[in-house]
Amino acid sequence: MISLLIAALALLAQQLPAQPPAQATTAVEGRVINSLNGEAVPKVTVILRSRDQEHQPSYADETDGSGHFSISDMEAGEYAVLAERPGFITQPPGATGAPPPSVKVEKGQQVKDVTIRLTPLGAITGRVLDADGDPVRDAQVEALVYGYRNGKKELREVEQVQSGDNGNFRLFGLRPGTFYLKATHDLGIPGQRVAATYYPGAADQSRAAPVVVSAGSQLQGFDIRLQPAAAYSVRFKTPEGFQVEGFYNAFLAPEQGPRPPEAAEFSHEGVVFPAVPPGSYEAVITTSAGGKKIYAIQQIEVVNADVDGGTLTFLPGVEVAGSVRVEGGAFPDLARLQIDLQSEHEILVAETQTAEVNPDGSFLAKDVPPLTYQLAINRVPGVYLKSVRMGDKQLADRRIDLASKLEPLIIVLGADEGEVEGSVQNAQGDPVVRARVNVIAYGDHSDRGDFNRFGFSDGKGEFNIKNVPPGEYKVFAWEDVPVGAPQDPEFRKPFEKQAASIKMQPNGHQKVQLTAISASQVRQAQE
Amino acid sequence: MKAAAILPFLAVLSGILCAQVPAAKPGSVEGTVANSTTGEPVKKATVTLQAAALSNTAEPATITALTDASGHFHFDNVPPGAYFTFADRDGFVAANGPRHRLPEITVAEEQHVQDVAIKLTPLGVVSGHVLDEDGDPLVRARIIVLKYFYSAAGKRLRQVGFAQTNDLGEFEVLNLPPARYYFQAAPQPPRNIPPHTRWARPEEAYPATFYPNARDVKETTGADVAPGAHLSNIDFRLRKMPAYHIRGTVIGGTGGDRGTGQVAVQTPEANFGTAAVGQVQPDGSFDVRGVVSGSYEVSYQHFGPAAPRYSSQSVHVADADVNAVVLAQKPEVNVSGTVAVEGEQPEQFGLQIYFSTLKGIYRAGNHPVGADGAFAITGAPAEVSQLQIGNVPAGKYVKSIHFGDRDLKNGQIDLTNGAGASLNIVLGADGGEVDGYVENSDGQPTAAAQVILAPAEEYEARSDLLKQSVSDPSGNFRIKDVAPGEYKVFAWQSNAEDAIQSAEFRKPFESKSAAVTVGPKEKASVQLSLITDSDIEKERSKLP
Repeated sequence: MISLLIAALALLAQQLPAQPPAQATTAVEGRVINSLNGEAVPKVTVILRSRDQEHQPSYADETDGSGHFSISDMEAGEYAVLAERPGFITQPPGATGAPPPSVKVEKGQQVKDVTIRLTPLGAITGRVLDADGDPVRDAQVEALVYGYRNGKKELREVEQVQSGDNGNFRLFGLRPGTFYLKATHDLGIPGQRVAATYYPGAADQSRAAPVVVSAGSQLQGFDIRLQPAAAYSVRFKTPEGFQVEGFYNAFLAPEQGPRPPEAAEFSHEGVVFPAVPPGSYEAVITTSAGGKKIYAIQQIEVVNADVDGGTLTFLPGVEVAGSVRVEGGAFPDLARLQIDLQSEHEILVAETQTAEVNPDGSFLAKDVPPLTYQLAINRVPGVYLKSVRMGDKQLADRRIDLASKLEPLIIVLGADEGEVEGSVQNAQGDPVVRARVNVIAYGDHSDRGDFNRFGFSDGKGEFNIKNVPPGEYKVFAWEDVPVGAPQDPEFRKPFEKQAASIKMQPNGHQKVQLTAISASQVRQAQE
Repeated sequence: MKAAAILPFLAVLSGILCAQVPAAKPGSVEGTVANSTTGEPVKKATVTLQAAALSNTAEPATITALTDASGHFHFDNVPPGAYFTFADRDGFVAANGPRHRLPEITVAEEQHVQDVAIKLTPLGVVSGHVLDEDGDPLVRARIIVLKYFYSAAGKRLRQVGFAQTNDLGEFEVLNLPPARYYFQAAPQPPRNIPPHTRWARPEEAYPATFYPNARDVKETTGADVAPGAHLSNIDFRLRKMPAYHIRGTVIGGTGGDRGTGQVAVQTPEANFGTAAVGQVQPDGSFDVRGVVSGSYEVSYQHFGPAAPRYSSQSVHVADADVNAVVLAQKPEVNVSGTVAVEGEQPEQFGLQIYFSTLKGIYRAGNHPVGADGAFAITGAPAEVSQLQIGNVPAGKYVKSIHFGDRDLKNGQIDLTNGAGASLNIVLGADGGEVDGYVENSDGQPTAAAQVILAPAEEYEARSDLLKQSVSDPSGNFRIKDVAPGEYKVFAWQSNAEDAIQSAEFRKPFESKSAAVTVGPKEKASVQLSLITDSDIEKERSKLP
């Protein structure tokens, strides 16, 4: 994992009055310091990023030994200020993910004393050991943090390293926060299988111990003791006389939990998943016959022994045909749309089946694995997905089972999106800059995560969010909030009374004044 | 880098074995696993017994056991039969090459087989630092581990490992089999530099540097990694150099694929690492920054569906930016032709035809050949490439390859100006046979020797004519479907390297080979003396 060092930064610009001489150069200069100790940080790439990169240049410099940077002979304008040096991040005030702060420079003006604060990243070191305490080399060690995805809180990996010759590892580039450590080691050798193990030595995620990293801290001695794993083989036979042809792929989709790490092995006789932890799975095996993709989907249950899944039954891919209809307005450019068939299977989501929409509104997806999908459209400003019909029937949840009998689909789009604008204040009535504003669907559309919209307040605390489909919403403003958390109904429940309720009319325009939910309130709610 | 290969189908169930032979009384097998370099026991190695004689079940029956602290293992209740043994342990590789070809053991009824000795070669470890001119760590710099490989086309450096420095500039590479390695370090260039950025001072970048401190690998000697060695001083001190831009345009294709692609700047003929990359803008323009002076190959890569190929350009960067480089979409060449089988009606089969160029292998194969023997290949590279023919049916050999009226003896085909002629392949059914016997310097028959039947010089690049076999326990081997012609036959102790497939590599050992001429449907016999690993070691200085 790579921590991107884009982003925003603490910027305190004392803008001196414009210097009168007409020939004076337009310039920005300043200094980069370590937010922990105030020391200068050399070798930082400082970028003044143009707002219109096609027509106006951006500028860059590298800080010298005293942390100074100086950019002159600039074009006047407003520039986003970015600073990049491996091992540091910028943490400007404002919400995570908000656009970086900017500096404005007039023609002939010299903006001086721009101070950028960099926060040093942390590291955790330790060793991976086996059940006897012997070092385990070449194990994969991950640093995990809680984050939100599709409105659900889950652990996700932010950094990953391999243990070295003495089982030692060093996870680095860690932002201040709470981490969980996970080690896995699998050589595919029977008798040497281990479970994914959480620090200090738990196979069960709920017993993982948190590790708190503060800015620049170097934590030592975090040894992880690997737990032996129960895992069994699952094998399937290919039908008699079956020829493996070209593309061939197989995976097990678990009912819950992570996918078994080991890849499937293929032979002329069939497919073997060599090390599958107990659980319920759906095996999805893809190959081709006569140049066409074919699929076998089989349910299996792994309890306490190797599983013989029997002979695979291959089914051809399915054609999904239909057309797009636009209501409530015009949307001329139908060819910009694509229809996505989203599967619940994690691996298939990665390769979501898509169909391009033709200029006449028709679409056709070929060779789609015969699974259950939810239909969606790509995000194109100006239209949203209203409903999906097959014949006269409205599809509940826009969900379709391709194993059942199919008729052409009608995808109804709305072209009557509205707009929300407003301002964000704190409890004292002062404007809050770079706050995150979430427009969340409620009422009849509370299941429509795709109707949710977000934006950020600008330097004056004002915001404007377009392309909001008609319906009921609550609008939240956050000083800072974990990315994705506002999509989680449980997370936002305690803050609903601080949100503004609106009802968006077709092509409507709503104006709201919001009081920002403070960062400390969010922290309290998380604890 | 994992040393242990993914194992093929293992059923860890002695039950399978017992079920096959209910009447026979089982025996037992015990032995030790030791480090081939130090002789020390290897604990926690997984030892596998695999039935040598295949029963009618498709998979070989196997049983496994772990070694204890003294490297000892034992299997009780082993059904009588013949077995292969092998051992796996993280950080080790089987001493005489890959895990197959280890001595076969036989277990009789109620026999206690003892003292089975398995040796594992410890793999090497390399570690070091990547620092800047002030001695500060370069974080997330990439280190590429390279090794020379041999092929019919000669020797080439290929990437065998990869590492990244941590926040202290440290890196470590595990699991290196004994060999000479070369190391290249390159730091992570700054990200997120917008297009059209002006720098306040002259731009500089760290060039990709070979250990210890050279831009050209030929100026370095690499580092020898002995079995189990830990080289801990592979330290780099990188220095910034003036850096320039390479700018230009990608022409052709659609806006869609241009928006997803990047332009890579690489050292010519290097198939590893990139000196710099730049994104291609939707209008097709690109601007690659951070290129230090030198000669490069600039190419367009994109990852969209059905990627059309683009030409690459040679660019020399002296002391200024290079502008207006044009990367045009390359014409695709369609080649049609026929496959004829001498003396027979052609049957339905898939012949594989590959075009390999210096820049990689384009597979254009597995074309079913119709009843009339016709095939059509689309998307062959419009350059000079080496034709390789695979999947030749048993009992046949490639007798001739004609491109128009040109006889492509060595398989080299020039498609620079398109196809313009038919590619006609004739398979012969009158192949000969070479058999023989391998002995060591003591005159003893040698099992598991790698036998190479190498064609005469003018056919050297034809991989279909190079045949391989392995001697059996009594030292015998047999190679069928040999195209009539002259050959040299070699017997090698190990196949740990692919080098023995290279004519250049084999040259110093020709005195130990046997020359043989094979006529149509003839059988030739040779006696071979084993070329040992220590013979290779002795010649190491003369080798390419």
